[in-house]
Amino acid sequence: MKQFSTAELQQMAQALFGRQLSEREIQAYRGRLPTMLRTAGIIKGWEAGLRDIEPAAVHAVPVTQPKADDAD
Amino acid sequence: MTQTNLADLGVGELAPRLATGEVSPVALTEAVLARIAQHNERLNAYITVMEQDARAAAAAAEAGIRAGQYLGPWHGIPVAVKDLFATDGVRTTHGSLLFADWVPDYDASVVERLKSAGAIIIGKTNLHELAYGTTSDNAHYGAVRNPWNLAYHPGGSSGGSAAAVAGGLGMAALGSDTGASIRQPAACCGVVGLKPTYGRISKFGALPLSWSMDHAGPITRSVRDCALMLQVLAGYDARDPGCVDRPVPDYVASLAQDLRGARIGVAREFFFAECDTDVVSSVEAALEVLGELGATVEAIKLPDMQAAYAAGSLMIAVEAAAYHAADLRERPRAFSDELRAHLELGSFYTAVQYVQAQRMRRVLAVETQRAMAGFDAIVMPTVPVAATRIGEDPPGHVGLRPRNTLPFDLISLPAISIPCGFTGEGLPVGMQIVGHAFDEGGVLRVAHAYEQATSFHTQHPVL
Repeated sequence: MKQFSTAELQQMAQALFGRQLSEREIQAYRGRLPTMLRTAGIIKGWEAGLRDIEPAAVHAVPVTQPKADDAD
Repeated sequence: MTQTNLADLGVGELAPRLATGEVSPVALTEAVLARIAQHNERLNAYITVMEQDARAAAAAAEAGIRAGQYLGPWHGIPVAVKDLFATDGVRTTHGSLLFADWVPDYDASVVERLKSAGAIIIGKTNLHELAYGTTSDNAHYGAVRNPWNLAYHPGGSSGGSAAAVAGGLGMAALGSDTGASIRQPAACCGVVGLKPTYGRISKFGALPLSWSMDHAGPITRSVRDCALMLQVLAGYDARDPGCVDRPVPDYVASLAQDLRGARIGVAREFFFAECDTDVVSSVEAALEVLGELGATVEAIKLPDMQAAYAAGSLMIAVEAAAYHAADLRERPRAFSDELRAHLELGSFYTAVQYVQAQRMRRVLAVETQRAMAGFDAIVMPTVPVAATRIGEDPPGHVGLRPRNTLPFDLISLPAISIPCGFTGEGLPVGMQIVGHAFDEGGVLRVAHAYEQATSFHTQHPVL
């Protein structure tokens, strides 16, 4: 994977996460940040093709049947 | 039979002997406790060994069997439980300082089921902190060591469970898998690990890492033992909102079918791309065996698995950050530096990115199922790279370890890892077999046929 400079990582974090990261933060997160930025880039690349797609339903909303006397 | 012999046998071999009284649950439990006493200091597979509880349960099992109340193949079998699952009256740390003194007053659903089947819970196994990592090098409870070479990590996060099973410090173990955590340590330790379809096994009583990606499952020495354990663990539980209410088939019966007429897909494009040569050669040789057994092995074109990996890793990062948000704010020092940074990063993703990943999940799940139509299973290396030395993290390995497993947590397909070879350094290599949703039996069928034709599962590390 390409080695990014601190300035490049700061720029990408701003563009993809809307965050301004200090040099100290970049140092602290350097191990995983490039992969995360790549992930965010992949997600962005898919956006245009998702127009008619609903999110996958993993859990259903817990709903209970209304009681008969609750009905209008 | 000596204690050492007993601890080396599989559940499938022990069960009939326990049923007839030829083997005593007390003797078997003592044999496993003796191995733990002898080797756990070096392996560090267990955080808590439950000697007293295990001995009491073994005595009760022995009395029950003698009284003619045999409960089935798990009656009297010592089983290890990943310390991510709640155990009534027994400390459950989740591999974290946050829970260092937590003693639950209830059992996780999977623990309940094993106890009801007569299994003896022998201890709580070490893991990567809060199950978020793939080496089981735990900052608070020490590094678990790989029984094949103590200088190497055993994979993770269920590293203690896999090391215990491989080393004979438990006949089988419970693990959990969010991106790799059952299959990758199973591969690294040369044992069998199954991640079922999402909803097949209840997660009630397991600490969440990522609600929508978490799975519980068995780690065993053979595919038969895996089928036996899945039989006990599978089934509906209303306490887990993700659990699915559908009949549980006879998994052991599925082992009887051979591979003639089976169609097996191989997606080399993504899953073989970044693998070590030892890994590729072992899996290619395994594919030849599957062909010799009567299966048709052919290329399959799957949707974008890099995207599946990206969406899945985002889901885990965000959901883990959400689950631990309050503790990160209020007790940041209870996390290791590594994990704290990891969790903080999860909150960097935006809400929009999370929803887009969930939309990708639908597309990728549907397209994968469409691509797999007409195939019985797809096969690939479980992990592109073998275990590395503890404390060493070669560039890229953090991302490579879950690369081949994480997509199937996202798209919710059953997947098993079975041993299929060794690297030049003598470390195990795993092959992953992925099937259709809720067709765990189909996955076990392919795995068992391969296992019966090879001898990798009969080789054990010398401790």
